Amino acid sequence: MTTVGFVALALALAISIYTALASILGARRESPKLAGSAQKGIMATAALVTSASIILIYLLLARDFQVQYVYEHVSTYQPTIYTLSAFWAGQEGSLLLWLWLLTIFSALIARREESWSQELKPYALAVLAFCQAFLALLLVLASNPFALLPVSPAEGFGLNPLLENFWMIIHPPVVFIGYAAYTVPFAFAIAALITGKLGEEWIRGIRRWNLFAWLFLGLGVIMGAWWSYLELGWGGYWSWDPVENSSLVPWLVGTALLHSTMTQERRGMFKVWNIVLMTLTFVLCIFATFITRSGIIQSVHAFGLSVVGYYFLAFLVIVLAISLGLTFYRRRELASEVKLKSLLSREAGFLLNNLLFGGLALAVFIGTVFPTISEIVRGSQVALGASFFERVFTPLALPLLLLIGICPLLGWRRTSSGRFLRSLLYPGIVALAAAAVIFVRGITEPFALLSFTVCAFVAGSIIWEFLRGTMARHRSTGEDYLLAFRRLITKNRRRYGGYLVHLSMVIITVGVIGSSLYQTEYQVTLAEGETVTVKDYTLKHEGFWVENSPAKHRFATPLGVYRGDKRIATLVPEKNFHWNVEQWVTEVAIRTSLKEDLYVVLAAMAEDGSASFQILINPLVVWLWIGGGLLLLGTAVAIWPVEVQSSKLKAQNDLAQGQDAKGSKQDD
Amino acid sequence: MTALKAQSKFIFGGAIIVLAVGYLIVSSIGGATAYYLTVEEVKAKGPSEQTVRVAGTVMGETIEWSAEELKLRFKIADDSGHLAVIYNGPRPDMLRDGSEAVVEGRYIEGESFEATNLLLKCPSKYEGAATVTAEAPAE
Repeated sequence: MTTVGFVALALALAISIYTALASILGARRESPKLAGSAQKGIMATAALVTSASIILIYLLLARDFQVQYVYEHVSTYQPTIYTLSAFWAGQEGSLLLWLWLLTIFSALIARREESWSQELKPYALAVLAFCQAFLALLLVLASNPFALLPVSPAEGFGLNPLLENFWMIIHPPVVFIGYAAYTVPFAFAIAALITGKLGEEWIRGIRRWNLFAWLFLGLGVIMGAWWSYLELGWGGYWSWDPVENSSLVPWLVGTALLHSTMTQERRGMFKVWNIVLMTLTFVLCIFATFITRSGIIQSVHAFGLSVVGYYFLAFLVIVLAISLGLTFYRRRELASEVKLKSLLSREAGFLLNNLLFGGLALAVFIGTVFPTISEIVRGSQVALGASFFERVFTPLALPLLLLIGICPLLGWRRTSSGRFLRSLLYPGIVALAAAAVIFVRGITEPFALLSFTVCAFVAGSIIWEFLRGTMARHRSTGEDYLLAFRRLITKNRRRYGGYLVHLSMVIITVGVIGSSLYQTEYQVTLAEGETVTVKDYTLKHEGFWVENSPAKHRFATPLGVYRGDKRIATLVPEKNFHWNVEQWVTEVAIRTSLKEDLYVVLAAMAEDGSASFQILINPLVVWLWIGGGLLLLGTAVAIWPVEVQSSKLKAQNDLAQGQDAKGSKQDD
Repeated sequence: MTALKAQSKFIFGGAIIVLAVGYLIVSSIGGATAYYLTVEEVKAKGPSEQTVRVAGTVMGETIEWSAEELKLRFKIADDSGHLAVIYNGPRPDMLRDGSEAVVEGRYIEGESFEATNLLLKCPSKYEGAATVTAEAPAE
């Protein structure tokens, strides 16, 4: 079984190399025979890697402990779902999953016949096959998931207890979908550079892949934060750890990319910039893996040292060299077709957006690698505290947020300032009203007041766009408001999906500001039966539960939570000793409401039955996760395939879009 | 001519933003950097307001957690000596004999180090550690 799996991977490696070469030669010599065989190679690789993956799943479920990977991540007493998620709990399995996803995406590309991609496809497939070959090489040479132990142990080591969490089941695949999907735009960027077909067609064609990858990477970041909040027990969700940062950086660059490609589609601008961003996003995904796998940067998310990291570094250098070389070679053809004319135009807004997103990404990147660079250059070890990121992030993020509110009000090319000022009226009123309400409710700190006001302005501007569009549609078509609202979105998925995503960013910002500025913390020691009151909650220590299982020694303290005399919840924070890692693992208990989270950590227990708790009140945290949900919804709306359009409908839509182009107001 | 003027306006504006971002990054690095010192260097410097980091191995027998004060005391050792650490907060799961610790904070009067931040690494790396489990706890 393991031999079959390994041979499948080795064959996948060989065929990928062949495919890359055949695909390029096929295109150069215009030989349909070679091109056809390259297509078959992509399909064969997908089939082989799929079989290898199914074999690994089978070995995990069969709990075949002679396989080292199975032994290290599975035990007989852990739930089946964790036996399955063990697939991506370790390095070997994660890499296999990444390769698997990449081969599936490549097969999708190979199968799809689209007019825009005909000339680019052979080269894009070659790049994809090259990336597949790299991952397959790693699996075969350095990180074989099918390696066997000399003996067959009766019991496995089991999953790391910190990974036993719902979000850890889905977080890694979601991130790897993002990484694998970002290979596709990169592959087409290289293909566009090679063929010199640098117009808008491919940018438009690749749009949905960009969005898809961006969505999954973003969701991955949010899920990682959620996991950290639930599992690591320090009361927060983001600690500016290198592993967290390194997945945020490609997402920030990807966000800049989504906006700048729009400018190229509409105005033929930012061509070099788009190629650079597309390459950069992909390279940063690889860099993130390098950081998490090489152990060169100290992180609390210890993955252990591994040579695999240096393979990624080598790959990164090759990718960068090829992309930069090709971009330089095509520099003349990449010149903008038009120039920026007016400050009050959407393209100027997008330029600013890109500068700020680029600045954010650069700041986080520098903060992440600074300690390592400084050690290499100066020889002395330094650390960069979280305060660096907080100091840098806020002054860049707040203008960006403001831009979300302003940019959609600007039309392409040029907007008259009178019209622009008029469109600021309603959002401005909403913002001032919100500021007044917030101030009266007792939030007087200037920074909080400012950022909440900006949030209100942006939310106001987005909601106003929805209202205005619905009313205009109602007036012109006679549809009732609900139908008009639905049609408004379904007829302009890109635009209104984008607005929903913008709204999700506002919601997430509200959560971040609330929880980072207004967290309150208490530490108490309670004897059994004793109570403590924090803010408007009263907590009562109601004894202990002790339980032994093959996995752990469980130690739980139920706390009755009261508001006034009314019992509103029972929270059970735990401290469990896990036999496999010989380690205490704290499990927090949380009561969530829209207003705030009551977050309780069992800090220590004493012989006399008393226990110490750390009690945190985290305002508005739940809005981060709600925002994440809206991000998913909004992107899904924007990405959803438009129904096959009749040419007449298409013409109508184009007309409507053309009107948008003149100014964002259709109904004045 | 006007197009050229408009262009230079954008280049100028863009350059200002790029410079501002650069300045923001550089100036923030200065304020947030914490140097790694050895135990000897910390003691030689004496009490100081400056935030530094010290790395060392946790000495298991010195760990003391006081439920009344909610205070954690322990010592770390490196090649140059021992350092007493005080930390206000719950005892981290990974604090035990032999753990690799990085403490961030200030050296205060009374020859101890007031840590605001503890970073701990398990002595046995999870990946690769092998024990056969499923035993009752040793009482």
